[in-house]
Amino acid sequence: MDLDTDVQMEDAVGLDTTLEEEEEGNTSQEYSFSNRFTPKDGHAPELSTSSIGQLDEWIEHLGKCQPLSEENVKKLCQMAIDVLQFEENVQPVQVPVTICGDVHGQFHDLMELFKIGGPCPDTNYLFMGDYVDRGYYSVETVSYLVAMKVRYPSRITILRGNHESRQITQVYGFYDECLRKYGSANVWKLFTDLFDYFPITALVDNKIFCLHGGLSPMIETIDQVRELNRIQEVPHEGPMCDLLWSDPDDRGGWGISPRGAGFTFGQDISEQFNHTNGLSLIARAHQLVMEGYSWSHEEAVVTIFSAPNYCYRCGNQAAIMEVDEQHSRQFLQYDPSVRPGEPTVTRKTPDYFL
Amino acid sequence: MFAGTTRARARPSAAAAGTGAVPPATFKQPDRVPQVEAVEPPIDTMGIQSPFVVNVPASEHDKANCTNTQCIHCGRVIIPSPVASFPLVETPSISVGSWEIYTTKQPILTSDEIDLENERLGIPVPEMIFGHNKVEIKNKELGFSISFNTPDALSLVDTTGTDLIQVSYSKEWFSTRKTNGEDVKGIVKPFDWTYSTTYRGSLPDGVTMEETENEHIPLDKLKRPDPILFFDDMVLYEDELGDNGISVLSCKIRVMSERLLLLQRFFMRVDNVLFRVRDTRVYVDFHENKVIREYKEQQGTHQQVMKKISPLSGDPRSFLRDQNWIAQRLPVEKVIVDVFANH
Repeated sequence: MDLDTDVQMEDAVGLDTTLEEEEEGNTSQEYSFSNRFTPKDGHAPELSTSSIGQLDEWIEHLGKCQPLSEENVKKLCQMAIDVLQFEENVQPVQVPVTICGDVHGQFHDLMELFKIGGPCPDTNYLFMGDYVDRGYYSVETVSYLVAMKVRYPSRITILRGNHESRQITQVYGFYDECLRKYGSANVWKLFTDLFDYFPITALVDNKIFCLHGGLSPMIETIDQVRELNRIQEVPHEGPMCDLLWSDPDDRGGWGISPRGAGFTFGQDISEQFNHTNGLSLIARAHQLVMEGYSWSHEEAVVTIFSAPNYCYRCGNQAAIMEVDEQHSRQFLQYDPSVRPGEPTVTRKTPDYFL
Repeated sequence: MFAGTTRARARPSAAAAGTGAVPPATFKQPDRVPQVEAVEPPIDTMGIQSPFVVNVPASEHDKANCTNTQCIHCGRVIIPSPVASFPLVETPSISVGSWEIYTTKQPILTSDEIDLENERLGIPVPEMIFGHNKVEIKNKELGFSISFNTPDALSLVDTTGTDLIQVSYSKEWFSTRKTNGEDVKGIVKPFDWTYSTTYRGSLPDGVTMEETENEHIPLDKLKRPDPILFFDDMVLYEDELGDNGISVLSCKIRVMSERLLLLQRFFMRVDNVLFRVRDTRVYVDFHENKVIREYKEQQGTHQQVMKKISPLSGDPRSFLRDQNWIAQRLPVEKVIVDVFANH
């Protein structure tokens, strides 16, 4: 959704918005590696006491919805690469865990999410992508989640969504927000380079397969996901693209979107995939649902959407899914955070349109 | 299996709206404006006395269901209501003389409502479907009424899939899909996924408008800075086209003391492919009791539009998102004007 450009944003004032001409076209070539990605052996380096102190300071700062300096974003992204490069394409996650969908730069609603679900790191979290674009606070949102990831790497898992990409963020807001808030595209480049390292799927206790979009006709087993080279820009084609883009559908089998790109998968496909891989559920995000969550395929697939009142005007609820040690699931729904002095609805000045 | 349970935060019930039980207002009053309360019309609007009786809410509207009052300072109807809370439901109205104007704004449809609408249309509804939103203009004395609503607009979307627009990288996508006789069924149910509609509003049975080539909406009268008594703006439906652009059908209305203007706009951008604008304007003159409706179709390719952007003007993408800028530059393909007049 294009946000209303006539709504004055407080952070837009007084910043240099000079544009740096970005090279159009395929950036995917220069970022694709010919060899498959294998996570580095071993573990991320232990955090030093000074790093912990620094991270805690950043988290506190970001918690007030204040962006980090460019220099600190650079440090943070480097630390995050040190952690994420050891994670797998199918990142194993233990129960209990709380599974969340799209956030889309709605920072204050993310804070509400942590209030509803319980603070991190006391509660384990798994986010299924789409942290940036659409909302007004993509920079703060993604900085906060990445800082939490680096600070508590075994407590929070952040997957990649289709918006964690160079191409999409240039159209849907994150790029422009970085220019507004930092005066250059450097921070956008730091983050989009980091996004290449985000794991693309997670497996909760070998039973719940979590990813942003959905299944791919080129992927029958979870092992085939492990074979992919993920460290690249999200491609326009191939299994990695499908995992971040596809949607479940009422129609059986594989379908192609009438748009001329993108797959839909039916109940038979989901059931076969769950059976082949010994799964109980596929959890995914990617689509807006009024109630915040929605079952498909007779509970073989669940869609979770965690951005309430999406784009500040849809009026939808958001939801997160708690999975406990016994694998029972509970959905927590919530409304947008209400903050004094800031309208929760888009208020427009009457204009003399013609 | 494990049933999904819900531990929801209680939402304020619709019945609570308008009572003392509603949560604190999210609308912040500017300090200089006194506390807002309903006033008895007719009221003085910026020193200009309306030649017609103004009622807020509209004379036929049940006051208990309307929390949108007039500002005692400027006379404008306050939208959203000062007691607005989630889930947002707004039903403001105004009447000027015998003309009544109603708008309704609600959240997107629930999953159950979407299922019904999918079934009715035979195609999946747009991602953001504000199925209850509408604008209505009525005049009982003249037997005239027109409404702009979501279901009727979607009924005019092509469900057959002729002339399908394809996203810019469709060829590239298909070229890599040669997976030895894959059991992929192809495009299962083609339809116009851009949700382009030829909707010009709904007239009830018996109300007709006559096509004309001699009448036009009097822009000179609309350019006057007459005080606006009522202004509302809403989306009927919107789809992000799977992050390939945007399709949005929106509707806005402004009511002055002697006339009103409504603009319904369908705007579509398929990234790197095509732009489409379809505007419907409805003008009502309260003195003449006359309605003029003007419908205009515009379309242009991405290349055509890019040629109009000066290389010196900076980031081209901001122009491509600006609906007004695009609408002023797309070639006009079709115009229909029709009128309703009091005989």
